[in-house]
Amino acid sequence: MHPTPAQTDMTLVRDRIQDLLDRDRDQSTHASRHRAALSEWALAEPVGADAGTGSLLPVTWLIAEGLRQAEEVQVSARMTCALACIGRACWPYPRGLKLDVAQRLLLVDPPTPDDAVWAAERCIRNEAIGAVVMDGRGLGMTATRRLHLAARATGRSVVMGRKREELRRPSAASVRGVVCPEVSETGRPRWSVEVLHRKGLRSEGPRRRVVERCGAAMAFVVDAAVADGSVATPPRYRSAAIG
Amino acid sequence: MPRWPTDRWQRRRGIGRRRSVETGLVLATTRAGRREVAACCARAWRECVRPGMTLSQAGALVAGELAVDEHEPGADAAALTALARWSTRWTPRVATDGADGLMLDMTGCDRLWGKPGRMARRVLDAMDRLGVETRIGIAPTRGGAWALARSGGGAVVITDTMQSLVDRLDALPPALLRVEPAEVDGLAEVGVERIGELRALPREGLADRFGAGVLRRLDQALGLVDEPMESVHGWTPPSVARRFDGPVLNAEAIALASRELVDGLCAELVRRRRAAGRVRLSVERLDERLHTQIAHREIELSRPTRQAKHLWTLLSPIVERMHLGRGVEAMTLTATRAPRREDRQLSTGLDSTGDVQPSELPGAGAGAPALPGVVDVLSARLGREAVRRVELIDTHVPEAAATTRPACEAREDRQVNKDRHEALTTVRPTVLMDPPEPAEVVLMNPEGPLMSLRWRERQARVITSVGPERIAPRWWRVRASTSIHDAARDYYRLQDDAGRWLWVYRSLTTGRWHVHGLWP
Repeated sequence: MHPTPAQTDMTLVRDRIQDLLDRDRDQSTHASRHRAALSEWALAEPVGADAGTGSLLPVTWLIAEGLRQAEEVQVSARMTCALACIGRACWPYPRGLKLDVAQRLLLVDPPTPDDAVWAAERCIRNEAIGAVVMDGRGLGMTATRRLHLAARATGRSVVMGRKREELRRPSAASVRGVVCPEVSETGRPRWSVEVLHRKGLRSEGPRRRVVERCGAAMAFVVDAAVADGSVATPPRYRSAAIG
Repeated sequence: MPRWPTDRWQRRRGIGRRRSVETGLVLATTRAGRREVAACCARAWRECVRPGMTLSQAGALVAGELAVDEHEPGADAAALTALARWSTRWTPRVATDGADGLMLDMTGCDRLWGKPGRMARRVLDAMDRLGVETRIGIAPTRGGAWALARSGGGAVVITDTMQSLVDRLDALPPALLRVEPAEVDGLAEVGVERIGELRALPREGLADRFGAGVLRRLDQALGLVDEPMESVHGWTPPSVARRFDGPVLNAEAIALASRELVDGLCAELVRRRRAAGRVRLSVERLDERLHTQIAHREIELSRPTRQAKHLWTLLSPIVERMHLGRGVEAMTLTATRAPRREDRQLSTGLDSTGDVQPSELPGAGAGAPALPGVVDVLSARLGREAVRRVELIDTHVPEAAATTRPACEAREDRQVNKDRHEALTTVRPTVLMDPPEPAEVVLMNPEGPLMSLRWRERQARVITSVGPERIAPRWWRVRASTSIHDAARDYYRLQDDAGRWLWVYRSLTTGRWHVHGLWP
């Protein structure tokens, strides 16, 4: 049974998510140095549950993560940035988002995977776009390397949705993880987010968080007890650790 | 258009033609030191005011108030030319005719408009909407049409054949042949008061007796002499072209020439104070059989621009992928849509023809990078329909409450009720399924809570159910619509035993359940 998650504000939520993704922190200034990257996420199939949504992407997490990345760019660049969603599978329903967030979306429907990679790279290199969320199913190592290099060069992030089995294949992504739905007593959708792979970052630190969607801004309330590690919650999905 | 000067005067001031019925209007000019009537409205005409009489005479004839203003023949002529260009929507050959008329060559237009009377009614209706009193004459010859329009035989007078035209002309006075007043007087002296009487006279003596103009005008009206028409030219879009000495297969040369075309077009746009909203690249190339074929490719921009760099960014992928065939002979770059764009001095000190545009995004600060730039680049390669923005619509029906539109369409965002939107965001799914997928639900009892859900051939136990939220149909579409969505629906937010949240509804008309959304 999960303890009731504590209500937290956006700052604390951001810190917890950053801990999860192991961002470098400057201890003297307590400021977070944003490290742009390509991250890949898959929707995991819960153990013991019949898979009915296995072909979907974890859109809620992708959009929330994309908005969070774009917000960091906005703060540093002091301007409003758009969020580019490439691939119909990751287009959110706008009525489930805050009004100003819905109006900042740029939706791209490329006809081929090559066009998708090209569009993502063009968006990443545009200053008016804070982050890119894309449907990365079927992309190979070459495409991921190209996007990763573009993200590092511009200081912006690409948040990519993948199939579960694609997380086992080689990729240039610096972060790879799975998102699994969890039973919630609070009436809000809940997921566990586990980072399976972090490249070039600190190996210690938490690898898993339980998050709930809070409000229309796609903020996540983090299960404080689970984050503290005081309650051990075994993963409830089929997974294989990848290096 | 017998009242062209006064109709134009009233239209310019936003006054409908029928308002002149209340007060008379006269446009005056100064001639030989006295103020004379140059043109008058229909009401003043009925009160026997005529061009050429003095203003004091006109004022004495018109009962009530008489509005007087200065006659502007130059402005009338310019407006008539503009009207002629506007009239090219009916036929490509339109010319001004005198100070108050238009001549339209309808040859070949019957395929588009059908019978001449149908086209005449359209023209009449359009002119009436513009507030211009119009009379139309249709005849096989230009002179004949001129005479019929001014014959007073009605708003539209049509003769289809030469014989019917001749029969009509015979009854009309010679003045309608466009002869000089002195020639008309000469004919009246000998008792010629109808064109038919003039036609009956021996041709050999007509030119000698009454002047060469009379015979010439008569022959023009009867179609015996050709009368060419110099039509106005419509608006020509800014365009630059390059023709090669022979077929060119070198891709670098084509790219270089294309870049020069872009620079040339932007210079032309600056000169004409316009910006390109849509650009077309036309390439003449030889095919396998060495026949010349012309290929077009158009690019639409989300915001008009005349920056060569931006245009080249959009065009260069097209030029790179262009099929050269057996060689390119010529290339033309045209701004098919080029709205006016005045130079403006920017406070940032950038060049005065720059296209720096503030971002469309809400809350954008001054000098924010332009989102339209990347929209143009994406649209040029992926297609106009592949790059989209969200458009919210104020309706309670979920599938109709949000749609998308091409991002390059410059359109104001619709006003959306923000409070209502924010109130619903927490209960609306992240993903909406289109179309909703059928599901089977097991209830504890007919009106009780949901027990289990079968969807996509998978069974799941429901552990949380929030609802119902009833969404009523759009009553104005219920009878006409056969859509399952135009029925009242009860929505529930369900959580299954795997932690997945689904947005399901039951149609109150059919009783069937569907999964409409998810929080994946």
